[in-house]
Formats: sequence, structure tokens, C-alpha cells
Amino acid sequence: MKITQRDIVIGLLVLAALVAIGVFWLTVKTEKIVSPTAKVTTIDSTACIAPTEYMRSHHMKILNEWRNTGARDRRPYVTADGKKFQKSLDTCLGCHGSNTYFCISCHQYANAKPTCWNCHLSPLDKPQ
Amino acid sequence: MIENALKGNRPYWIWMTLLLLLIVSGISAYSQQLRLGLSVTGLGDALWGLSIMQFTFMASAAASTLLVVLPLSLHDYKPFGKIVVIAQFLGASASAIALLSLCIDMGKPQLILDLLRYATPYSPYSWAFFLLIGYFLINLVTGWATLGAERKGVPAPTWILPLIYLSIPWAITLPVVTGFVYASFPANHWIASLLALRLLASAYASGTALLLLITFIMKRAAGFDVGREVTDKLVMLLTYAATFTFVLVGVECFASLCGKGLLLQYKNLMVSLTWSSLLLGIASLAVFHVPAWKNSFRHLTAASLGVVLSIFAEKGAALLYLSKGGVVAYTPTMTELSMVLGVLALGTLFLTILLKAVLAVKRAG
Amino acid sequence: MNEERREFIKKTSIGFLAGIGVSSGLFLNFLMEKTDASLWSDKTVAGTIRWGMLIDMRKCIDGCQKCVDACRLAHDVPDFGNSSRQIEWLKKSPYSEVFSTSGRDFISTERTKKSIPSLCNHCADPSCVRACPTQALFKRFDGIVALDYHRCTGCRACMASCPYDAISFNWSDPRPAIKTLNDSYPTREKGVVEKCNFCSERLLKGKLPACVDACPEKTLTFGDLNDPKSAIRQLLEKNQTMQRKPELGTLPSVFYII
Ligand code: SF4
Ligand code: SF4
Repeated sequence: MKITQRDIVIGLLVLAALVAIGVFWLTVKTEKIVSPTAKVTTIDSTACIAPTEYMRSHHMKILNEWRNTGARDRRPYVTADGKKFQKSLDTCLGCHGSNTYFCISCHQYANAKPTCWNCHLSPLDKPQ
Repeated sequence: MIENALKGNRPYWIWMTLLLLLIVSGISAYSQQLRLGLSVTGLGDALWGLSIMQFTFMASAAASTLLVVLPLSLHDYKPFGKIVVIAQFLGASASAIALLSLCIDMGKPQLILDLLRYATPYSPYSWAFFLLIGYFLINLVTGWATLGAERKGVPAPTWILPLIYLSIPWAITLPVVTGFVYASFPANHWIASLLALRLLASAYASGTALLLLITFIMKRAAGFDVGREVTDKLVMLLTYAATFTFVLVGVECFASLCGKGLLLQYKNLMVSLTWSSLLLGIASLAVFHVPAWKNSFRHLTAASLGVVLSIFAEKGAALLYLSKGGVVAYTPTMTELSMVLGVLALGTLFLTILLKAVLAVKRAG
Repeated sequence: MNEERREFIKKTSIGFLAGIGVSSGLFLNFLMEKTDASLWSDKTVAGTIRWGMLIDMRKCIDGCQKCVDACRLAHDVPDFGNSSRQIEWLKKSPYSEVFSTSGRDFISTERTKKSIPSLCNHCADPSCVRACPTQALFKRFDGIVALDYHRCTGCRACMASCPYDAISFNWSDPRPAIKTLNDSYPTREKGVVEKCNFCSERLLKGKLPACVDACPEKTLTFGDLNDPKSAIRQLLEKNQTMQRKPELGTLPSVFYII
């Protein structure tokens, strides 16, 4: 292995590129400051967020997105027809929770094991 | 080249069986941890234990590849061409062990990909994870390419050169970043910068000691001799690095004694660990300085082992600080020990297979 | 290495360093445009709300555990007994632990005999947030240091870096250790950390934190530290107060009158 001047130049260029990327990474990540609202929000569970057919096939997609963003993104979820909902499992359970077997009957049939109930209280676990 | 791992004599198969047994016991211990959570470990008051100790040790030992690659590629020191592949494979296996040690310590290992997805430049832990993956890949790829070229009797392909140069700053950053994971403990007032330096020095000492041990084993078990010159050079590098390390550990002890620091206040564990590490280290170091012993295979083996053990113990001492202040007593459980040994065995198995390929090529050539 | 090459390396390195220097000078302005310079000068939190708490130990009753129990109930905090794996969001501990770096020589027993409530300080410059490799811990718009349990990998880097021992880890499944299951807040699972969230779920409903509500003596005052007219700012104005380990520069939002 012998170094030529060309190798050194290439090496330094790569290093420079890495430094530049690092600086960029550090600076673009500065958070945007959002103005707070001290407004009181209540969970709205009065309507379904999407048609039943769509929810039947896509609820895991929506719930997964809520799960990933709900804690830190304060903007509500906006449905196709412009209604706003808080990204929380409680939004769903406010209505569907009244049927104890709503989630579980289907999941059991499909042998799906969602991790939700590791933490969230399933309608089955709710203290009576 | 890999197929050579399936050929070997009796001691080789005994060795492989031993490793496999350790791996199996590690897996069963880990499945228990998956079921019961980290409560199967001896942790509780102590946040981090044996596996993080192994992570620290291996992450820094991996970096010692530098001591072979640097003289070879920048100063054109030809004799190291003989062991550069071995050093690179050692680097790759050590980073793999370090990565796995991190994984077995995580409460929810199923989220491991989130470490990549949501990585942040502010977290030293995040950096360490990234650097380890990168270092593993760089060393594996360059080592394998060099070996392949050697087998065909052609010079190494030129595209690995930039990778090799990249590995040099990488190897310096790795122990430093690992040190920062602990240097940012508030008990240290955020400024234990000596820790990073200590890790850097000990990295080169422990890694070179490991490399020396491996060349000894290869000589004994497979009759592959790297030659007097390389051994002497390695011993020299090891002596420098180890001297520097133990001076730094000594400084730490001295500062603690003078400043009535932690070592004096928390007698039992910290003191015994750090002091025994220091004494063992100095004793091993002495061996390297005695001309008569310097040429003795036995003495060198013992001394290298001494350096490795001493540095591992010193890693332990650094971990037992509590964030709220003070030091905690910690006894690992058997389950924990099996897991850590399992990871170590897995990495060693990987290294053995790679070295088998190296031997085959060297013998043919 | 020959002379010529050495010379060349020297020159390129100098050139490279100079390049970095110049480019950081040039690029700094437009790259860092979005950063508010005042952030660097006095490390206070941007945004208009910064929730804080003031704990007035003159009022606190020794032996009372009402705030601790209320917190446990409100957030389904498991109780592992007196073990080293106990999980606590809010706890009462002696002066020597809460203010472990403050002087204790010749101090009045009046001060030291009472056990003092302590919780996450929702630091303005939180070291736990910096340590978290997945950004599971983050600083919210209102100064609350929040934890996204979904994302926590259980690496415990945050626990090691919090100077106040405010974060606990679930060494085993917490569900069996919860005395009364309450459905106002999800439980946690094994392998994640948890800590005080300043009752952000109650703030959302316009209620005060559970501990503040539970205290019969009004020991705890909760309010917006950025609003000079708030009750907490009035109290801070009129009394001599303490923060925990201010020397570490984490800027706690919880204050004490001892
Ligand atoms: S008290 Fe600890 S957990 Fe709370 S914000 Fe400060 S550093 Fe983080
Ligand atoms: S334990 Fe969880 S919250 Fe704490 S640093 Fe690790 S990922 Fe972040």
C-alpha cells in the first residue's frame, strides 16, 4: 500500500465532506419554536375518523402513525372531510371501548398480536 | 475461503465446541431475559454492568487496528503487511462483540432500529452505536478484500485505500466517543475529559495485547509465524501504550487520594478494583522492560494477558459511579454472566472462522 | 517518507484547516439563521410557557404521603416495595439526599429532619434529553421534559445522566406491581424507563397536577415561570428559594423554600 498525492487529496476531500455534513446535520436540526396554546382540549369521540371499510383494512396504518407522532406533534389529525381529532388511542376507545370485545374478537380470529395492550388498558382489563 | 472453517484438527474442534456451548448457554440466558426483563441481571442500584463493561472494553480494543494500519499505510512499514488482515479482523470482531453487548443490555431490543432512525448528534450513545457499525463494516470489507487479493497473488484493489484512510480517524474517534458516554455523567460534573483520554490509551494497549496473544496462539496452534520483527514492534507499541495508560490510571488514583475524591470515600469496591488493576498492569509492564523476559514467549503471553485483564478491571471501576453521586456495589448474576460470555464466544467464533481463512491463504501463498 | 511528500502533506493540511475556518465563517450565518442567538446568552427556554413548581417546606407535614400516593394512583406507578428497583415519579427523602451537594455543617435540625418531596425538575437544559439516543425524551413547547414510551429502547443513558435520580427503569413487568389500576393513564411495560410528566395529561384537561391537588396544606404551587404575574413568580419574588444542584447548569424548574 503506497500513498500517492492523489490519495491524500481524496482523503482530505472526503474528510471535508464529512465535516460539512456534520455541521449541516447539527444546524438544520434546531427545532422550530411553536407558539403554545393554553387551550383546554377534550377528547372528541363523537364521529368515526374514516369510513368503516377503510378503517377495517387500514386502522393499523393510522394507529401506527399516531403512535409515532402523537406524543410530540401537537397538531391534531385532520380527516378527509376536515374534522380534527386528537391523536390518541382514547379517541377511538371513547366510543369503541364500550364494546369490550371490539378489538380482541377480530385480532384473535386473525391471530394478530398488537403491542398496544402492553401499556394501554384494553377494554378487557379496565377496572369495572 | 470460508469453507476452511470446516477443516481442522482435534484441538480446533474442541475449541469450536467450547465456543458453541457458551453460545447456546448465552442464548438460553438471553431468552430468559426476554421473558422476565432485565430483572434477571444483578442490576438495580447499578444502572450498567458487565455487558456495558464488555462494550467499553471491546469498542476501545477494536480501535487498536490503527496501530497496525497506520505504520503500514502512512509510513510504509512493510513488515506489518503480514498481520494487517489479522488486525482488521480483530477490529471487526471486537466491534461486533461491542455492538451485541449493547444490544443485550437494552430493555427493548426490538426497537434497535430506532437507534438508527432517530439518531441524534447530541447523544454519545447514539454516536457510539453508529461508529461501531461503521467500524465493523470498514474492517470486514477491507480485510476481506486484502485477503482475497493476496490469495490471487495480486495487489489489493485500490478502492479499499480510501476506506483504510477513513478507518484511521474512525479508530481514534471510537474510544473517545465511548469515553464521552461516561464522561457526561453529572457525578463527574460533565468534565471528566481525562476519561476519554484514558480510554484512548488503554484501547491501544489492550488491543495490541490481544493481537499479540492471537499471533502467539496462531504460532502455537497452526505454526504460522509472523516473525521476530513484527513481534518486537508489537511489543514496543504495546509497551508505549500500556505505560501511558497506567500513568493515566495512576494520575487518577493520585488525584483521588489528594483531593479526597471518590477512591478514598468509597473504600471497598472502587479502591480494590482500581488498585488491583493498577498493580497488575504495572507488573505486566515490568515484564516488557526486562530484556531477558522480553524474548520469552511465556513471559510475553502472561504479560499480555495481564494487560488485558487489568484494563478490563479498570473499565469496571469507571462504571460503578452513581449519577446521583457515590459508588454502588454490584454482583452480576449467573444469567448475566452466561449472556456476556455467550456474546464473547460468538465474536470469538466469528474471529476464528475469519482467521482460518487467513491461515489457508498464508499457507497456500 | 520523502521530503517532497512531507512538504506536500503539510501544505494540504494547512490548506484544509484554513478551508474549514473560512467555510465555518462563511456558512455560519446562513446555516444557523434559524437559531435564536438569545438561546446561547442566557440559557432560558424559548416559548411563552415554562411550567414550574415551588415546594414550600414551611407548610409540608412530616410523614404525610398524600402527594406521593396521588401521583402513584394517577399514573399507575407500580410499587416494587423498598427494593433497589422501586419506581418513583415523586418521592419524599431526607435533606441530605435531596440537596446532597449543599453544605450540612451546623445546619438547623428544623431543616434536616423533614423529608422533602422531589420529582423530575423539568430542567430548562436537561441532560437526560441530550443523552437519549432515540430522542424518546424531548423538551416540549411548554418546558415539560416529556418521555415517549413508544420509542424508549431502555438503554438507561438518561438515568445515568440525570443528576437528580428522577428516572426509574422497569426491570420487570410493572402491571402485577400496580396496586389500583386506573384507566386515566396508560401503564408502562418491562424494559422502558419512566418519570414524572408534570401531569401533562391533566394540564390538557385544564386541571392542576395530581400532587398539587392532593396536598391539604397547599405546599406545592404550580404555574408558568415565564409569566411575571403568576402565583409562582410572586412567591419566587418574595422568598428566598433554592434549586437542586444549580452548579450543574441544568436550570431546574422546581424550586424549594426550605
Ligand atoms: S430532573 Fe433529570 S429527568 Fe428531569 S429534566 Fe432534569 S435531567 Fe431530565
Ligand atoms: S432509556 Fe429510553 S428514554 Fe432513557 S435514554 Fe434510553 S431510550 Fe432514551
